[in-house]
Amino acid sequence: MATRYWVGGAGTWSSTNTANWSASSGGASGASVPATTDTVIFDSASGSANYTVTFDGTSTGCGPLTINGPSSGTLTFDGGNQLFNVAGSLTVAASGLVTFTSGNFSPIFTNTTPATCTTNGVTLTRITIDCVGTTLTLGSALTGQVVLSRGTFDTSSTNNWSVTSSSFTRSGTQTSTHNLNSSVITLTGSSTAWSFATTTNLTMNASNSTITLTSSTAKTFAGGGLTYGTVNQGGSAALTISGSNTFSNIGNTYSAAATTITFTISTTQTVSNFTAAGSSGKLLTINSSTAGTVATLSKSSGIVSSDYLSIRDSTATGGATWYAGANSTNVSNNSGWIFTAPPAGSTGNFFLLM
Amino acid sequence: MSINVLENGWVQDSFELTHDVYGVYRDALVMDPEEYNALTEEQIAAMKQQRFDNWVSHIDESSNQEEPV
Repeated sequence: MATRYWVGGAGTWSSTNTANWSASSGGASGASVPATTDTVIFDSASGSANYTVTFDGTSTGCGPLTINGPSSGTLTFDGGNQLFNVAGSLTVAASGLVTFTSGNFSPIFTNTTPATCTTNGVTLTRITIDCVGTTLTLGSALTGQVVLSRGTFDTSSTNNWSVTSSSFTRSGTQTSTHNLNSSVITLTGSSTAWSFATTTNLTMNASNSTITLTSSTAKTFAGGGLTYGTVNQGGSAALTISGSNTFSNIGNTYSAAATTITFTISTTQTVSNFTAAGSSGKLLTINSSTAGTVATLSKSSGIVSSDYLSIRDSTATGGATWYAGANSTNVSNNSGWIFTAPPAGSTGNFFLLM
Repeated sequence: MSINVLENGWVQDSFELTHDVYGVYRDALVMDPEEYNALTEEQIAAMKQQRFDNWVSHIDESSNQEEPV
C-alpha cells in the first residue's frame, strides 16, 4: 500500500498519467498511478493556484482519499459524470477551497473495512455504498444522491448527521443496510425519491429518523412495507406513499399552499401519530391513488386530531378515534373519519399550520 | 454541540442549527487542528452559518427543479 500525492496543479486523473503523482508531498512527479490499495492526498503542495483535476473514467480509483485545497485559489474536480471507486474514507477539507463541478463526482465506496465519508459542506453528485460486509459512516452532513448496493450506510448514531439528497435508491438485492439513526433526511427529488419497494436482503433502521420530501414536482415514497420514523410532505406537489408501511408519524410541513398526500389503493399505513393537517385556505388533500378504491390509515389507540383536510377514499381505523376537524371536507367514500373537532378536554395530536 | 479529536488527529466541531420549515441541520467542521486553531471564534461561527445557509439554499433550489431520479 503506497501513498500518492497529487502534484503539478492541473491534470488528468487517468490510468496512465504519472505526471501528476508523487510519492511525497510536493515531491518529484512520475510516481505510479494510485491503485485501490493506495492512499491519495491532495494538499497545499498539489497546486499553487486555481487548478482543475479531470477524471477521464479510466482510473480504477484509489484507497483513502483526502482532498485539501491548494496553497492559494481553489481545486475543482471535473469528473465528467464518471463513477469512481474509493476503497476507503473520503475526506474533503472544510476550507471551502474544493469544489466538484456539478454532476461530476460520484464516488463508489468499495471499502472492505469501516470507512467514513466527510464532505464538509461540499455537494457530491452521488455516493454509492458498495462495501461488502462493512460500513460507510458519515463524518459530517452529506449532500448528494444516495445509492445503496451492498454493505451498510450509517449516518452516525452519535451525531445523526443531516442528509440532503435528490433520492435514496437501491442497486440490486444484495445484503445491505441503512442506519439512519435520528437523522433528518431531506429528499428534494421528484418521481420515486425514496425507492425501497424491493426489500430482499435489505435492513432498514429508520424508526427514529425524519424524512421530508420537498419537491414541487410529484414524488413518491416507496416504503416497501418497512418501519420508519416521521415522513413529511414538505412541498407543493403531491406525495404518494406506496407499500403498507409503519410510521411513527405522517406529517405535513408545507404551509405555503394547499398540497396532497396520496396513499396507494389497498395499502394500510400503520401509524403511532398522524399530525398531517392543512390550514385555512391551504387544504391538505388526503386521497387514494385510484378514485373509488380506498387506502387505510390505522392507529391502535388514542385520538387523531387534524383539520383543514379534504378527504377521499380513506378508511381510518385501528382502534383510535380519527377526528378530521371541523374545517375538513368529507369528499367521498370515507369511513372511520369524524368531521368535527375532538370533544373539549380530549387529547390528541394536532398541528395547525398557520 | 461538541468538539472532538478524531483518530487521524483532525478536529470535528459539530453543530446544530434549526430552520423553521426544513427542521434541524446537523453538521460538523472537520479540519486539520493547525488550520482550526488559526481561526477566530467569529470565523468558526461564520463558517457554520454559511454551511447552514448553503443547505437551505440547496433545498430551495433543488425542490423547484424536476430532477431525474
